[in-house]
Amino acid sequence: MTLRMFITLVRLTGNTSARGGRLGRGRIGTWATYLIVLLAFMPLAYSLYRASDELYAILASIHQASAEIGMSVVIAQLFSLFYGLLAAVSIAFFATDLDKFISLPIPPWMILTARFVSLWISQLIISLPLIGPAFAAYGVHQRSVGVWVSLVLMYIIVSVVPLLIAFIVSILLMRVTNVGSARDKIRYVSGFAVIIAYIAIRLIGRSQAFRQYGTPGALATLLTKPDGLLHQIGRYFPPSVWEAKAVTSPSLSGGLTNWAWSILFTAALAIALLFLANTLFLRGYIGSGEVSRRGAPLRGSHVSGVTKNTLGPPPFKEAGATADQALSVPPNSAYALPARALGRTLFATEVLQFFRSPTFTLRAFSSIITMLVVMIFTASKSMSSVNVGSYLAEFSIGAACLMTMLGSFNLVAGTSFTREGARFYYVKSLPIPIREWVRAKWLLADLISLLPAIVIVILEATFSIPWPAVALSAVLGVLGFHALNGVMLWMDMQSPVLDWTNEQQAIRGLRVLIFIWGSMALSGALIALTIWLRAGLHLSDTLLYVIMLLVFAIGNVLSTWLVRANAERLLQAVE
Amino acid sequence: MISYQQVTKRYGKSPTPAVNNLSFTVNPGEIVGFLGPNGAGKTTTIKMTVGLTRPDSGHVLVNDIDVQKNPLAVKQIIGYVPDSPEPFGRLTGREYIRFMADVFKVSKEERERRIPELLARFDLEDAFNDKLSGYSRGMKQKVTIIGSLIHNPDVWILDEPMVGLDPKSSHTLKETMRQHCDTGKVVLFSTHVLEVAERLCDRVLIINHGQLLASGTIDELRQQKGGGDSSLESLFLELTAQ
Ligand SMILES: Nc1ncnc2c1ncn2[C@@H]1O[C@H](COP(=O)(O)OP(=O)(O)OP(=O)(O)O)[C@@H](O)[C@H]1O
Ligand SMILES: [Mg+2]
Repeated sequence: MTLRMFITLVRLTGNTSARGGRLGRGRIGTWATYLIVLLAFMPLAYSLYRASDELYAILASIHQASAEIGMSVVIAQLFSLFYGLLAAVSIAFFATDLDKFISLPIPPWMILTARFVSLWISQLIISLPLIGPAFAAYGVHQRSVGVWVSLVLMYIIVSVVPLLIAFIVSILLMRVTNVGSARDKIRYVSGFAVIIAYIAIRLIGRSQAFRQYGTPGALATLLTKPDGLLHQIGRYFPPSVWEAKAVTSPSLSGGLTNWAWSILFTAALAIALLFLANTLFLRGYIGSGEVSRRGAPLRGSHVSGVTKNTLGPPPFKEAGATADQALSVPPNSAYALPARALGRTLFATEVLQFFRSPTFTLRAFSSIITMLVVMIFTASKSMSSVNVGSYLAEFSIGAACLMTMLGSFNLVAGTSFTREGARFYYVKSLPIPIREWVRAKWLLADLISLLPAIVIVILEATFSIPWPAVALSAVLGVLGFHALNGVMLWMDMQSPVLDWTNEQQAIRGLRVLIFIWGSMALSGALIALTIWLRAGLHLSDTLLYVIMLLVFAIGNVLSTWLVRANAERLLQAVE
Repeated sequence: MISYQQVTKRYGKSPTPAVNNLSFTVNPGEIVGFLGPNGAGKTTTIKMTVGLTRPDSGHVLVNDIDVQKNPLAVKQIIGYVPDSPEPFGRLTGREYIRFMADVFKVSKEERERRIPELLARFDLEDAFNDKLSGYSRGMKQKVTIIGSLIHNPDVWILDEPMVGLDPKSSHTLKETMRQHCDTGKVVLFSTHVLEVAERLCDRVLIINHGQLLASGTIDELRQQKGGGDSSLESLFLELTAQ
């Protein structure tokens, strides 16, 4: 009985789990869509697997194969923690459907646990590309059924610990911040704090991990110890080590001990969460949806006009007043609200709605900031030693590809219409040409994509790349992300998800992975093309640039055509 | 003027159409109340009028313009209040009204005249600068009503507009509807409150299962049903009994 209710709750939390788009609206089933998408990503998945396989060979040759599992576990867990923090606040506090459940006689722990499970399920899909390849490479080499079982079990539970931590932190955070009226501001501040902490952990983790092992002797001892590398990777978070060793430990008892530690730790966190769910959750939740506003005082006019007399007969038909006579309030220039052209009004509204939603803004900027900081960090360490001179053309085209790729990571274009949610239908009833509406959305997406491009251009300049090369990469980059944004807009128009109840649902799921993987694959292909043109065909710099400009320009023509030709039809069909 | 010509609409593969061969006309200067049981097809009919769904067959003409052929021109002369207001939660009342005025290309003088008047009428001055997500249900309804009136539309369509309104606002709305149609414009609204329909409407339409059951003034309906002074309620129950 309880279990059945619980399952219902998880399903109602519903579409927080992965949700794909229907391609071609109803003509192809959802499963066929998944299959097509899966097939399309086979090459990418295979190349990831090959890379993991090679890494395995290297690590195994120094008897540190466990480090591969450790690395993917740590990466997946860090990602789950980061993502979980943003998602937990959103689905456990700012979901509009929560009121429905909280008003029912359902214990708070159950509501929260249902949300947890639904987040966990969606995390399974999101973390697959992060750990799948490494796990598969490891499993293939170990050739043991036991290891495979362990690997699958570990894949399932790997994000539990970070998500539990995320929920616990968000409950505490919401309890603490549920004061005063500046909740949205607090959300922004804490959101960016989370992003910065995440970046800091990644960077410190990277630079610290091997610092004390700078001398060859120390490195040697690290590598001769069994699991030495693994311990180093998981130094700051022992549960990652336990979980990795549970899978990789050669002896049965060693594996079981680590399983036991992992499960005990998870259970302790789960109990803490259940406890908090029953004590603090509701107190933090209540009022978290409030918006600051001055209460309007009750005035005489609120009630004075209402008497039995005015409501009863005679019928209003006999009032006979014309609209103009009825004007009782004098015109007031304070209410003139300066007029704007349609395009400007649409864009301004688009910007307001985007930047006033912490969920959307944080999602867009977190990925950009993270990628950029990691890039700058890496570049500042390695660039000085590389002589860009002889690879100038490749370098600036590569920078353009990067701008293209980062331009899609913000997901602004890919969620253009999905972000509207139920409001979509209302806007559709207004006299707005669909072309103008699409243009406003495309412009916003381009604007956000421009930010990482500017940073990359500045970076190029600081590495004293000659300005013609910088300018060319900027032009290519803008062309690139503009085209990609168009394609993602088109994909979103195919079947926008409009029935979400919290904003988090609008920016997650399979479609998001498709966007990110797709743009990675695309920029990879462009870089491969560049390398082939140069190394294979020995083209000159000028010719290389001309060809790439052509490729990017054709991309733009295609994507503009895709949007222009289909927007009207696709959006009309959304009913 | 709105004119429905043999309009039929089926959702997906549903065997029974939501709106079935519906034909009627709403004339200028007329308030028409749209009645019918839950699921009768009122909202569907309204959505076809404002371009939110397309009829499978038949035509909807607004001021002689076909909604399907020229949706933008039609939307420009319609003011629409949906059954559940979904305004722009992250905008303030002021930003939302400005957006609507911009979309409908309302002139500066009209803004100066209409906005203070409408705000005063519906008691929303105090909340004008607040975010819409902080509005109560009735306040959301009222701000949507103001948005739909900002351009003084030729055709004003409201889907269950009284829901959630306090007695005074509901009274004001009825008054506003009356005044609007007295200037020669069309008002079409759906409702379940028969007293409102009885007192406010020039004509009522009763539909069920997507088909028009009756149309006319209350008196005409009474006559059709064999006279007497039966209430609209008993008429309604009798008509929709099957
Ligand atoms: N989006 C939809 N998808 C499928 N069927 C729908 C959809 N909307 C309405 N229907 C069906 O169409 C029929 C008419 O619904 P409609 O919403 O027009 O009724 P209504 O008269 O407005 O009812 P109510 O008084 O409850 O608002 C119903 O049978 C309903 O189930
Ligand atoms: Mg309805």
